[in-house]
Amino acid sequence: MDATSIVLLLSLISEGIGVAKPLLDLVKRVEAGEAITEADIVAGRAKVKESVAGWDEAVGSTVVDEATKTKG
Amino acid sequence: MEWLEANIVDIVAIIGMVIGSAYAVARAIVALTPTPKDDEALERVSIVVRAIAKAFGLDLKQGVHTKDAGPGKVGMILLCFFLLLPSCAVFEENPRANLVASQELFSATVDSLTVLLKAGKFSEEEKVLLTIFIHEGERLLLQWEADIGSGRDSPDVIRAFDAVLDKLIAYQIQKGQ
Repeated sequence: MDATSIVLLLSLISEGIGVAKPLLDLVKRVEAGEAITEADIVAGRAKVKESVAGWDEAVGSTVVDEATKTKG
Repeated sequence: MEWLEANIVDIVAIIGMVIGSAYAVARAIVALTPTPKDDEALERVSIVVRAIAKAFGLDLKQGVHTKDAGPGKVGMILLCFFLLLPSCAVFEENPRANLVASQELFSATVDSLTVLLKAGKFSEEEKVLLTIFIHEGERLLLQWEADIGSGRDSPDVIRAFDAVLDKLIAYQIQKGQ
C-alpha cells in the first residue's frame, strides 16, 4: 500500500467513525423520549453549511460558477 | 508508515466495528417503533450488511477476516456504512430526528467526497456534477427544515433529497475503491 492510499484510507475511516457517534447519540435521545429541538436542527444546518463550504473551497470558484450556470 | 501497514488488520477490525454499530443502530431504531414494515426493513438491511461484509472479507458473526481485504475494499466497506441509515427509513416516525440524521449523513458524505476530491479522484466533469448535487442537497435540506418549521409534511422534498444523497454515495463508493 502506498502512502497516498494509506492517507486516503485513514481519512475515510475518520469520516465514517465521525458520523457514527452523533447518529448513535441521536438514536439514544429518541429512545429516551427526548425531544429533538430547534437548536439541534440549527446545529445540523451549520454543519451542512460548513461541509458545503469546504467542498466549494476545495473544488474552486470556477467549478462552482460553472455548476451554478449549468444548473441555471 | 510501516506501522500502519503492519496494523492494517486492526484498522479493518475498526471498520468491522463500524459496520456492526450501524447494524446496532438499525436494530435500536426499529425497536422504538416495532411495526411489520420496520421489521421487514431491518431484515432487508441486515441481509445487505452481511452480504457486503462477507463479500469484502468480514463475517459479522464470526469476527474479522482480513486475508482478502485490500485497501480499496476496506474503503468500500466503510463507505457502505453510509448506505445503511437512509435505506432503513427508520426515523419516519420522528420528522425532526429524521431531518437531523439526514443533515449528519449529508455533511459526512460531503466531507468524504471532499477528501476524495483532494486525493484527485474526480474528473473536471464529475466535479461540476457533484457540485450541482451538493448544492441541491443543501437546498433541499433547507426546504425540508422550512416545511417542518411550518408544520407541513414534505414527502416530495424528502424523496428528492434521498435521490441526491444516493447519487453522492454512489460516487463515494465508486471512487473510494
